[in-house]
Amino acid sequence: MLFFSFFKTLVDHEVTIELKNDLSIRGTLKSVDQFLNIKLDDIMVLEEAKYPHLAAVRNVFIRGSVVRYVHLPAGAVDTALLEDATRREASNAAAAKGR
Amino acid sequence: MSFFGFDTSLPRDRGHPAMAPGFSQATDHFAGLSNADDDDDDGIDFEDTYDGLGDKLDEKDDAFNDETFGAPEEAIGKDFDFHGATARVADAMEEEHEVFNRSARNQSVARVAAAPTQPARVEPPTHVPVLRPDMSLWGSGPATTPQPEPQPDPTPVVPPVGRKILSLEEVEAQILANNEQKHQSSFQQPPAQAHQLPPQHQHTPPIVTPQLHQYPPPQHDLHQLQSQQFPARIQSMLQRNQTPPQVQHRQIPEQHPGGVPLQQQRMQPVAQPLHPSRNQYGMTNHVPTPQLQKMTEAEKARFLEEESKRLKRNHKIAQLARYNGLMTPADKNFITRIQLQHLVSINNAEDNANEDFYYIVHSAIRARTNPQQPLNQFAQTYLFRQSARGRNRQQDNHLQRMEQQVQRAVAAAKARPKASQLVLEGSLGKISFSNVKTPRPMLNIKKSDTSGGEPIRRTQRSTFSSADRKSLLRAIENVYDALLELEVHERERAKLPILMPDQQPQQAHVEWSTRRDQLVAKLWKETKIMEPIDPMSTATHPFIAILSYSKMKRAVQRIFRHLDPEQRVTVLTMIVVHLDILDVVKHGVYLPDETQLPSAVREEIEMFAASVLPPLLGYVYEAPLSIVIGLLGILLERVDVVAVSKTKIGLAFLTMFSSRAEIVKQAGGAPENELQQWQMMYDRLFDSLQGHWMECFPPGMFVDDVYVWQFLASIAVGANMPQQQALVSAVKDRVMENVRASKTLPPELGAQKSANVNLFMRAIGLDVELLG
Amino acid sequence: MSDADDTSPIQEPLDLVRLSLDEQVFVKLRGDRELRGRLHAYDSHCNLVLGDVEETIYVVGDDEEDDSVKTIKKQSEMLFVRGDSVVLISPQAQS
Repeated sequence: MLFFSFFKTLVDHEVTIELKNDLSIRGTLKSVDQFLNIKLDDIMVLEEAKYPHLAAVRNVFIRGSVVRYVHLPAGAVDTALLEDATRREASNAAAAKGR
Repeated sequence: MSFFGFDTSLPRDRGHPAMAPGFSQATDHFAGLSNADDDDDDGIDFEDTYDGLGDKLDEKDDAFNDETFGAPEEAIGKDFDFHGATARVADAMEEEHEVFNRSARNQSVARVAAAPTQPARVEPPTHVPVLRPDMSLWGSGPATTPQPEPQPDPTPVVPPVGRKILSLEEVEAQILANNEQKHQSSFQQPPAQAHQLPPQHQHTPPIVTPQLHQYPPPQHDLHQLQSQQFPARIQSMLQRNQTPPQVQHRQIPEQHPGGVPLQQQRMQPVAQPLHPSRNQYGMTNHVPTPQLQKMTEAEKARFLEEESKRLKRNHKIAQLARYNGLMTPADKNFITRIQLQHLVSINNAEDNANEDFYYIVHSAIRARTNPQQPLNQFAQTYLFRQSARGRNRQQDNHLQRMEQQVQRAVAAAKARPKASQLVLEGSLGKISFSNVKTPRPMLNIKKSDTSGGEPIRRTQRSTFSSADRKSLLRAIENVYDALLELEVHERERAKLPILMPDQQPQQAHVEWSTRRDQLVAKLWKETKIMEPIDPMSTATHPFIAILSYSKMKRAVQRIFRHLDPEQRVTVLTMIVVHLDILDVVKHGVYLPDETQLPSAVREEIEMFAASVLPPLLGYVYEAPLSIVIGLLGILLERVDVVAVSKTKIGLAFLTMFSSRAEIVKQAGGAPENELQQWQMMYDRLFDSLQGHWMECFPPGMFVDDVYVWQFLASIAVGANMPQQQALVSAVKDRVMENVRASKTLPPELGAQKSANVNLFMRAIGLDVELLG
Repeated sequence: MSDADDTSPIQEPLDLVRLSLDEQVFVKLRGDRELRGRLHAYDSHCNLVLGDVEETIYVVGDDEEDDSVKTIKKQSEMLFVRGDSVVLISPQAQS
């Protein structure tokens, strides 16, 4: 749940999603679910010429599994908090396994 | 449909909806209810419950039918039953029997005679069409009936052919009940009675029962119907046998297509004989007409009222009982467990926070528009790091604090004018005059000094082998584990009951404190700070080693909050003792050909300044003079002060001590021997650095050198006259360069630069303004 | 440095990754891609968040004669990496 929790804080921020087919889409993150499926609004395809068929699309739902990267606004990420959240998640997972 | 009709009636509810959809609902209610009382829900499966009696029948030869269905005089026994369903509900029937017997003990029981005979002769579906012509006779019936159940259109009567609504036993019961009532009361009821009471309450011919709910026959037709439809043999049989109604009745409940709820029957045993015809809806009145007739009007009204109350309740029970038996006790337990778990996890906010930690804390921090607004427990832990994300800002804070400290020291010194002031003014005045006019010759002199320092070879973090590296990282993560655990525990404090100031701590508080102390001890151990210092060893002390990682530097501030003063001074001492091997000091020295430190080193230095220095400064700025003396003594004893002074972090420590000591000194009240001790320390420091003052500056002119001016100012404040003179002559060129450089910079930056220099100038009683 | 008081031995591979938290890491991905950056987050699916990332993509020349490998480098301030692309995570951050 760490990354679900993480992405929820990025709602309404502009992100660039790079898909595994090399398509890059920039847009406003509108929502995310536990599978890290993502809904983007006001999208813009980075290589418009290469993918003209998406020129008219305003918003997209992206299945989480086709995502390669999400480029994030660094200012919106609290790295120290994120690292602690990661540690907690790791410890909890270990504790759950040990139980 | 088999000859005996048992298979179609088995899924009791199934037959209804097709022909009378309006009743299927009500029917279901009672089906559920009766099932609830029936231990065996699977009874619907004929094969499971069939007692096998039917197999013994010889069906090939109808010649034995008489023998089989029998003359009444042949007692075949009450168990002789062609209806599989009877066996299925045998238990319920027994139960019902008991109930009925209890309530109607006075009535004699003669049970066996009619039962076997009925199935042979009575086949309701085939008789139903015969009823058709009679419909018109009671066509007005529905209008007069205040019955609560839905009334389908009465006119197009479709005989329920192929649909078995009543079982044979019910039919028998009705016949017999009817028969009995004949003897109890008159068949000719006054028409008024029909208006007061729903026709359903009145005597109903058993044969028409399947349709009764649609077409309640008016009372006066009954006799006619009976005579029309009942085969003469049955009629005679009925009359002859005089079977008491309750005998048949005991078989009714489970046979009834509507699924008569047993409870209902138990409640109204007297009404049972009429019951079967109506109770499919659970709404019908079961008022036995004879009783009603004997009542007065008031009694009737009350009776009807009670009756309607009872019916309402029955209806409610039926509604509630609708899903009875859907879940086994094990299912219920399972659900209960899940619900309990849910409750527990909802109550345990910590669990939620574990799942969604980042979001909760992040939102709490971001949502805070007003900085004064109190934060929740989680967010408070991270607040200080929120501002730390812009590292420069934090850096500024730290520098500002340092500067304020130095300024305080300077101001305190100024407030107590010294005799040396004039002389100093003279000495610097001389410099200023000459330098402002002819700066160049002075510039030439200073170069020889700076190139003298021997460079310390910078080794990257490769000082640790990879195995060491892993164990160090492991150690740091252990520190974080302990830290996170402790922070979680600190938040638990909010859950403790609030103590009044004079109240004794409760058990919970004591336990909490004990646990906290354990966790602090664990954290303290994980920092490895108490590992013995081995002066002979070439290996770096573990605490200093892990402190070379930025994540450990970042943790120091968080750790510090949990430490007591003694532990804090231990941390400070440990760092001071190892100041020269501290990564930020060791790597913070500029190599001869360097104008800038490598970016990795710069990052570490910034991190150290942002995360490690503030808590240390916070401690030192409130420390007594003795501690400052002790720390500086250790530093001079064990550390290469000249090397340390070439670095930003090293100077920060020196500035920290000298400015603090100066403030304590100016404030007065310090013991004389401590002041003397401090003076000795100060002199030693000054002597050590004499000749190396210019090495404190980073290379280049347009660089950040404010920390050096701060240091020089803090030293200058405490200097005696010869020391000040030596200091001034050592750095005067740098002063002039900076002043000149500040004029070439944009006004804002220039002002900043001259202000930096002025910090030092004012410490010796001058001002850059004087330099022209 | 004694390991004696390292009470929690490494139990599973991801514990190694934890040591690299807030450290420079090297990540190899499917499709001839490599990342170098500071590890800020990971989970059991190897989803990652990296800071100050440099991505290196190795591309074989498109011409038939030209089979030389070209490298494309890209920078990103903050990058989420979907775990199913990750091949390996290494604490070594040689660059």
